[in-house]
Amino acid sequence: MELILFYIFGGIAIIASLGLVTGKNPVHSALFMVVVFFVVAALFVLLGAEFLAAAQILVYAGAIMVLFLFVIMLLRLQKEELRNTSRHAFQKFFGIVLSLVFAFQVIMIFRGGFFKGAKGNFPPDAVKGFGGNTEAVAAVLFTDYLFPFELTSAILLMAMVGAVVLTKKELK
Amino acid sequence: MTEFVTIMIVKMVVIFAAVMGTMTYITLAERKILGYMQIRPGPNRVGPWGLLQPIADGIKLFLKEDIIPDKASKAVFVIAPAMALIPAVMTIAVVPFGPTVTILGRPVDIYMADLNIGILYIFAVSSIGVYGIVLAGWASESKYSLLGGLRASAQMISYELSMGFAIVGVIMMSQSLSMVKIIEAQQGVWFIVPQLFGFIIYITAAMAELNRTPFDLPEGESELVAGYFTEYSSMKYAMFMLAEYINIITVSGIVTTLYLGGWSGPVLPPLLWFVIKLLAVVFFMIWVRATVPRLRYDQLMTLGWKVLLPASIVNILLTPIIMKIFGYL
Amino acid sequence: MVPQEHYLVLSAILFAIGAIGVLVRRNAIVIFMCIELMLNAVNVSLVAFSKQMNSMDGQVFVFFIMTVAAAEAAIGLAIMVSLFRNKETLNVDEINLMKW
Repeated sequence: MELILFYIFGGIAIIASLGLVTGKNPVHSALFMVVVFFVVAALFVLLGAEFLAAAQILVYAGAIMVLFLFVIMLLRLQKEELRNTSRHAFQKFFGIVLSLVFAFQVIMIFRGGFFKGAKGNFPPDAVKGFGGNTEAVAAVLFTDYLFPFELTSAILLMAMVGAVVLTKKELK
Repeated sequence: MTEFVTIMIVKMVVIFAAVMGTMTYITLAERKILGYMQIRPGPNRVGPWGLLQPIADGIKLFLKEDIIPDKASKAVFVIAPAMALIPAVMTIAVVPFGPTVTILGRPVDIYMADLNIGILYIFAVSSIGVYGIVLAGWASESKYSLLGGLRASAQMISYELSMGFAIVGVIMMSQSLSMVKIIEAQQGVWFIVPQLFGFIIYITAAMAELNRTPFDLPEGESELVAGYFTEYSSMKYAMFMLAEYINIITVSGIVTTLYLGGWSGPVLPPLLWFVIKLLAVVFFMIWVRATVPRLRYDQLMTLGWKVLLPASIVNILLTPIIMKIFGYL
Repeated sequence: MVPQEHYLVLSAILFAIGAIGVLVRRNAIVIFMCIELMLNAVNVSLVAFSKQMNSMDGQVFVFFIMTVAAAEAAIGLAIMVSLFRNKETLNVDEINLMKW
């Protein structure tokens, strides 16, 4: 059952990401991106990371992609892509070849016997003992990773200030 | 296993039918209540007291010609109403209408699922609803639609933040994301008492999320014809309407769960309590629509970013003190 | 039960598709979306590692990646909006003032 679901979701993910890369219209690309985000969230559920699945949809699909769509609509980007695309056949060819070589290498590394080393403290039973995936993530996040967690708030603040400064019409 | 599946399917059908039925009559109730508030009778021609009006409306919408504008981006134009409707229906799955009851000797929960990420799920799914509106605005290739879609996306992103922050207070008090556990935490005092501030922020932001008056700028008819669904007709138009009214029901259900104690209450059966509270919230929203005039766009953004957002953060800071006073800590 | 390596292979494929997009497309916004796709591919493999190694660290990492991605999207889109205001284009070939 899980295997079938994995292949369905994986297939959709690959098809949608191909659509994203090949789509001529940025809005269509953005829609395919939303599909990819949903499928990745579904994969997270299959992997038992329900909190991340919800966060994935909330942050990526709910906020980031809406911003993307907003900007695409605001700038009316529709025929942008049609201008001088033929100049880069060489770069395109190399890009595709290099990426495929990269994917092939990574897949070769991943094939079989990759997971070695000591196991961590959170086998499925322990996660259940914590009361669920959300609680387990929180237990790690607010102890071992407290400082990085606080740093992310600084990053978000900087992003906010940066975005305001960048889009302000004139600087005084 | 088969028993589980049967129960789930029966629940799905019953809850879906109940929500759709309530939804159609909320449209009538809205028109009636607005009518009485404006000293006019409202629809009263179809059936006694206009009770068959929603059915007549439905038949009318079914039989109208379905127009797809020539310049529209066809695929997206067709998908958009579905993308508005599906998230609306999906959120119902975690709204807890009633506790576990025994039917035919089997324990049955009167809700589809009690996820341990319940609130996050609602947030995640309802944040998808904006796509239907934005894409409808984009795909129609009409300036009114596009303006409506842009306004909707800006407005919904802005108010989602305050909504999320307002809920954090509830989560702190109930110490759980599960909707059922939140109701169980309100057996003593409903959260509207200690979280009054959060409740006001939440319901304001929720009305903005729903594009209800006074926040209905995306479809403000005096300036944008009908906003993002200007070009839609027939069933596609009906789907936007369905989504809007189902969203009203779910938001009322969420408000009931988070702040009004859900199904808890004396004497009457729990399910009835839930329905009464839910309808009270719906009535409140209609009341606001009849009372408050539409905001201007800059007022809308000021309210969202300069009033509600800081207020919701202050609410989070206040919550521990309130918890101490009410003896939760 | 899915063999965990399958998740990693899927992640590698998605990452490669994203990389192709970054190298081939000329529209800055689409390039940006492809970068998000690559981040997501990495997220999948991190969660798969987390599941396989019985550890929550991978999921915490994904959480951090999401916050950084959100910050990055805000900044990136702000840059694109101001770029479009000045140059009327988002084609990366025409944004070449810094090239010489």
